Amino acid sequence: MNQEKWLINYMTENATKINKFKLFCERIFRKLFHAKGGNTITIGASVDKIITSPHNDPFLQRVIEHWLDSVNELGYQVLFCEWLLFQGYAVKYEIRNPNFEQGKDVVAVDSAGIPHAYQLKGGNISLHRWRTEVKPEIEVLIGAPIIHPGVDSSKGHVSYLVTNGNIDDSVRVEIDSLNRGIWKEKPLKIFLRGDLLQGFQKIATEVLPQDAQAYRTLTNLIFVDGTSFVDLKEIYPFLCQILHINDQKRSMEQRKRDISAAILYTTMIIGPYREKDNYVSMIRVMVLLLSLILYLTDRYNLQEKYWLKSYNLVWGDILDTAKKLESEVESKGFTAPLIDPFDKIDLPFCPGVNLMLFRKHVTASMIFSFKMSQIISGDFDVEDVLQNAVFDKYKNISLTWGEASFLPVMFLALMCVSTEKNKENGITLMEFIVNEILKHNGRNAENSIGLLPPFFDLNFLADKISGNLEEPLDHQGKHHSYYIKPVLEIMTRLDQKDFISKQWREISFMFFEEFIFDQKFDYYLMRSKKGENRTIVPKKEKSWKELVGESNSFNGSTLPDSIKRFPEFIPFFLCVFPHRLNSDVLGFLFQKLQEK
Amino acid sequence: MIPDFPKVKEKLKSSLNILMKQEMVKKSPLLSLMALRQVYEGDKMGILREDGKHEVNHFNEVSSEASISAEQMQGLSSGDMQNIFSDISTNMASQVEKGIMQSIEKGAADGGNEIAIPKIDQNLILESMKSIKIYFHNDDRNKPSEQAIITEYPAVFEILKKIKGKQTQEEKEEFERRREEILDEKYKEHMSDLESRKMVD
Repeated sequence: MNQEKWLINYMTENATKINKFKLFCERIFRKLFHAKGGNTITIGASVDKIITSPHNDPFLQRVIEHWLDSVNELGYQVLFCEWLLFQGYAVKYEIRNPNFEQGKDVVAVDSAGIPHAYQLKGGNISLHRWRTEVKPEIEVLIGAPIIHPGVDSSKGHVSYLVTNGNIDDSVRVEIDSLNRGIWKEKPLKIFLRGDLLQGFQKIATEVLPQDAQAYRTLTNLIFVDGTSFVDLKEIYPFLCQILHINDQKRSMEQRKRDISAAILYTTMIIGPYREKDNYVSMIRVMVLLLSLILYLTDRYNLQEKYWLKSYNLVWGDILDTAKKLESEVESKGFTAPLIDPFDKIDLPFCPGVNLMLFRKHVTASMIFSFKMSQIISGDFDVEDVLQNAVFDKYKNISLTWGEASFLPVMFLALMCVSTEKNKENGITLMEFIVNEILKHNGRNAENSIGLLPPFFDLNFLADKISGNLEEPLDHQGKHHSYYIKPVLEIMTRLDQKDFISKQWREISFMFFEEFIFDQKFDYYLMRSKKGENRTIVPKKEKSWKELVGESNSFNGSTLPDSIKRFPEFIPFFLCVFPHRLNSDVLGFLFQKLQEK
Repeated sequence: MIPDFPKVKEKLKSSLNILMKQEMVKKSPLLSLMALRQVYEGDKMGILREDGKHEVNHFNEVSSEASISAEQMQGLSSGDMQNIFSDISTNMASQVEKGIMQSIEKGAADGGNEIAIPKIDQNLILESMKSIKIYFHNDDRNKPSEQAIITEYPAVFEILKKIKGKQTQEEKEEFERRREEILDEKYKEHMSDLESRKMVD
């Protein structure tokens, strides 16, 4: 054993699992990116060749391996489906409710129309586990026909056992025996850890991170603390690079591969959050991914075959994750084990404000986005949503730090005003938003800083409170608001002339801020390089009729096409990008809810 | 090479950038008179006025650089570094002033007016008060907003301090008397303005 190998073995034997991998990564990192000349280390080929060859990236291979070994079947299911799509299969369904699976977690159809059914498992399968848990499910997998309108059940299906671990030799022997015996007509096929690795690595190596910084970012992201409220600022440029969003010469086929690779990297990035059941952070990352996919779709006019199935896969995962979040809050509320003592301590310079409020707020925001999405897609009736004691359950989540903090209140208000029974509650909520904005940003506000504009989320506030801001905040919010105009327009549509007239004197001192995009598709971006920061000076003497006409004109005409095609995505999108709430999108959502 | 401390240097660079921005604003009297806003995206600012007029201006980049030769590095002191960065912020401030003046001159030319660069003295301050909007906090005559304007724009404040330092007691009293007269007028304008703000039909 040479000295280097001995050193690695010694170090790894004395480190934790994560540290072992980190050490390995750093070693490979140094080898891959060490400057040529002098101390160049080669691994069978020159350093340049290793970086540019798409099929020989040991660092990336080990990153994927590490991720695959750390998840269960739910963790790799979406990527498995994406791998099937990557190979040209049509994925017909993924089962997430075990009561209806008939032994089949995923069903896909190949180009010859032959159905393939997969039972996904996590980890190694011992003989005991095979006999007590897995084999009964495999018997159903093989024996029960596939009942699905998109699948021709007259064609017998091919059955697979899939796991990200390995199977004991005794299990292999038993399967071989069954395949030669009672399963002779429909032998069971197996995908094990090595097969999955090979498949996923193929997706990844089609689209590599382009430089050392990107690799470093990926490493940082997959070793993040999975309990945290994810900060998207580092993930965003990484995904933009993987998706080549500004490369106008990319072919459609290449874009399809880019999207598959982005799904793989996203799946790895949300790994730490999935491990901790941090559903809010998982959803935020997936929403970011979908927004970039829609950007590509609209900017480059991608045909559906290059993106739609991948979009639906990720969307399905978002909905499932949101359901889990809702179930968790339904069953456990916001109490232990979510709380530790530091959740209840007042934050420095913020009497009455503690981290529990932060945590409740981000959770409620996501749940309200989910409920609104369900109403828009017709899965739920508004009355049913609002009947569920939502006001009691989510009271005391209000935390006013910036305009973005009004988003969950606005969603709740929109849901309420779409029913006669709860209309007054909704109007009260909107009045609250307007009054708060005037209180903090109006002409008589005590200080000139006012509310933070909607570009800032709670991560920024957390950094500010803990003294981790890199630059001091240079913001003067007094007299300015991004949200007041869209909210007033909805209230106008609800004929709230009395309230608006009474408040108009103060409202007229405000400057209405909005961002006008040069290109519609830039709406999906976290920050757009092009566009106009428009300040609107309201008239001192304002005609109600004119206000009604203006308010009714906002119906989504400035929104990009694809987001209007998936209106149920919009609440999640706004939850993650609250600075994208404007007159047009709010008017569009209002109309959608009124139609229900 | 001997070991370095790159993280500390990054922090120093970051602090220096912040300092230079602040210095730039202080060194630009015209910039000091303006309300500054931070923007987070885009390449243009626009304003849509009450009369429907829409003005759009593209952002302009302001930059400056300094170079230090290898010979200069040998004898460089901390004071020398401060002078270099001070020169950079002065240079950037003058670029901003130039840009603002060009906008003012263009606006004046479009409107058919001439612009003369005024002398900043007491009279200018009082004349400016007549032409600017003065708000009264909570509509209280004794809380005019022009105080806030003066303290928020340090360049103006520095000039005023120098002026006041040279005033006689009589001049100070005259200044205050004229200022109060102007504020009385402004308060009447303010209350009248409030009455005009309403929803109609």
